[in-house]
Amino acid sequence: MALTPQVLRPVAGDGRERRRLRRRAGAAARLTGAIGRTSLERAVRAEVASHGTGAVESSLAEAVAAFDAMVLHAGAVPEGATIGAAGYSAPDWIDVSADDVLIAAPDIRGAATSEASMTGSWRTSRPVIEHDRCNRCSWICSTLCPDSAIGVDPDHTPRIDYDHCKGCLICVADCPPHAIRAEPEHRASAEAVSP
Amino acid sequence: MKRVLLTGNGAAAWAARLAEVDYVPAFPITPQTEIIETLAGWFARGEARGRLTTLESEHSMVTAAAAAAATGVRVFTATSSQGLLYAMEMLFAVPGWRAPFVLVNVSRAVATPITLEPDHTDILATRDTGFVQIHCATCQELLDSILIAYRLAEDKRVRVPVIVNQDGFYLSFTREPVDLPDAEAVRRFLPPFDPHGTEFRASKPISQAVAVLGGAPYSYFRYELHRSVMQALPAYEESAREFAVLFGRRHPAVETYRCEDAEIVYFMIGSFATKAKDAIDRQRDSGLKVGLVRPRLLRPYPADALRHALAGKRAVAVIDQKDEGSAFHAPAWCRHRDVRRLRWARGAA
Amino acid sequence: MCAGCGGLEALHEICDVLGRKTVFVNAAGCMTLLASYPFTPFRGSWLYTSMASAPAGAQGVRDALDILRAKGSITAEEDLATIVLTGDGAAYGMGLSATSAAIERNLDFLYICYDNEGYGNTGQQYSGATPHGALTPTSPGAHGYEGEKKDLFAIWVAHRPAYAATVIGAEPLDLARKIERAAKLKGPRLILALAPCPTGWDYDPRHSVTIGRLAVRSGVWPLKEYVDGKVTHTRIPRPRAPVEEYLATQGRFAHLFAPERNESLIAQIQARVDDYWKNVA
Repeated sequence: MALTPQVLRPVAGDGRERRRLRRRAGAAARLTGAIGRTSLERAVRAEVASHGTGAVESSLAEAVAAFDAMVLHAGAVPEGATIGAAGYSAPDWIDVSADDVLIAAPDIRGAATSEASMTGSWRTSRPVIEHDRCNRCSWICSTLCPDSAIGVDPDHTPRIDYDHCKGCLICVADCPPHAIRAEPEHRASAEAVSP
Repeated sequence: MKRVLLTGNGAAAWAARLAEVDYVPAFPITPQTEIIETLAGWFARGEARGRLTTLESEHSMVTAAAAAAATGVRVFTATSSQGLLYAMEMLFAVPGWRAPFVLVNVSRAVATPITLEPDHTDILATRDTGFVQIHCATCQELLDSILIAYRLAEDKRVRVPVIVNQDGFYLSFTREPVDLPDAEAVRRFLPPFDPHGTEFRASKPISQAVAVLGGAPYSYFRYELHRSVMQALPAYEESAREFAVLFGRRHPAVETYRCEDAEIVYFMIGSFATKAKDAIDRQRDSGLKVGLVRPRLLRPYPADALRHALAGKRAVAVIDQKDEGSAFHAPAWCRHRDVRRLRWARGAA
Repeated sequence: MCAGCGGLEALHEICDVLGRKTVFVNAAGCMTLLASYPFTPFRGSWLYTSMASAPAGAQGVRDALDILRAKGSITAEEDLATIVLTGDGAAYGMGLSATSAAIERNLDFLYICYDNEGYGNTGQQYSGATPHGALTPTSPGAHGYEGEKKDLFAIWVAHRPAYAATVIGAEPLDLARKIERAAKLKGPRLILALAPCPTGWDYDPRHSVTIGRLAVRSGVWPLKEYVDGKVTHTRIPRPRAPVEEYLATQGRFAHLFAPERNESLIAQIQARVDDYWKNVA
């Protein structure tokens, strides 16, 4: 695994998303009827210049193709009427009632409401317990789980709460008899859907 | 009721004692220190029942005040100037906790240069914090306003902390005659502290002042705070009216002096305004039609009462005990930004 | 919290022992986001204060509860243990003044610091708890962090608190014993938990416990407690694993090994660890 703090920086979007943006820009320009081909080309060149000539040419091609494709809908989005302030009156739905402090304070009245927050959706891998290998020690995986996502039955059988398991795989790494394996989440959840 | 000579600090301490405050988180700073020393002495000798804890900074002091209020007790604290500014992060934070308490500020000018002289730069810096804010011109008014402040803060419609301001030296160290209400009458005015659901108890788990990520819920909580502070306008009128019935002294949100036929009015807050009354009397003798408009309640801003008081006047002289930075070269009539906003809102009126 | 958070692992284990009659008073840090409207994972109560003043918030809560008990307004059943929950950023730095004063006032509170050795919530910039040589966004040079990790345990001990202990989630039995002991005492009590941080230390989250155990076995993270004027080590690693076994697991120390080994920096770190254990019986 790459071992630098740069890993922590956000990853840039892929090429497909950038092409989609260029096409949308070209189409939008034609729809307004107020932005001509020349202005569009100038704008694309200015924005993409730093990515090099190749990027400029391909971006232009995408934007202009979309511009041309919208010919039948040119000017379909007209400019709106000017809104004047004379005669303006505030709509009466703006006012919010002054609620009692029991509601209006940023307080959470209750315990463990985070059960409703499905952090299981964060997973890219999921731990799966192989119960025939499990020694039923009753405490190791459930204690080491940071998210308290492993419960233990009275007969010492561990159960993973997949609604909240984030897939850190500490349990996989630290079960002494190696009774927990890791599976890719997309495969596991697909299997869960189709029996 | 008995009549005594009290300094502003003495009056503030007496108000806290009469309000039977439970908890006083404290930190010394001139010209406020006498308040907490007086309370510490009473608590130690059993003359008043309460607990004083010295924190190590005003930032911590305000945190402890709000935390104790959020647990469910009546809290009093006091500071000035540099201390008020040191607490500023928490002054912005704690109104949103919606836990009521009273803070007395003894206003004092701020560094630089460091000084002990009084002015209003410190207290006026807290206008946007969400605290309700009351300004006093006499030691009597200070004592009365602190009692009204507890009624106001603990009102179900309000539930935000209140700052009551007295001017350093001019009030804090100056003895004036003060009518001390008796304890029983105060108990009729101020019922025992009711946490109104904001408290820490083992049987009722609650997470208070939690993080709110997301624009809409954040805006909701901030707007509700604003709505509740605005409720202090009618709540103040009611509290002050009931105070007048019980104790015979009226403290409307805006005081006017010789305004009825005035052409020019002075607009001032705090004890400095008493000098204006003296000037008005002398100017009236020489034929000038002048008067004084003195807001006691500065936040929430008593816009309606002020509009009424200023209606038909030819000019308003706003005399601030504060410089607004860029007003270094300003003439004697400084621009008070709140009055400016008021006149914008009035339009052609 | 992030998947594999060593701090959350320690907190999980601590809460299992402490139960729910608690109010956690929080200083700004990673765990501020544990209670994020409308979700809280706590079965007890919580109060967010600020980065610098959580111990003062705990003072206010504790004093108010004492007042209510003295007045007879609440019973012992309604009372709550007051707990500060803080990261190293506040504990070793901005909150140190409030912490020192709270100990000195003999506040009856448990003070839990999850130490991930940096300002975690903002991206692991270096803090007073960052160890020598660690790469962070604000110590990105070839040497990494030039300072030394502050000794917070020693600072607490100098105040003569009721109790102080270092713990780690990777050693749950040692941790549980210490929490049980601390919970029975009154006064200021420190629980300082090293919190291996996959995001900030740069390693696969599944290794949090492995790395935690290595921190102990290499002597980098001594497990000890202070009570009644004495410091006792609850684990003396014999033999002690070479410090580089621990350092090699984390991206924040990768520059010690590649593109070439920085022998002198590794030796410096080893020497400091050796020096510590020389003075331990």
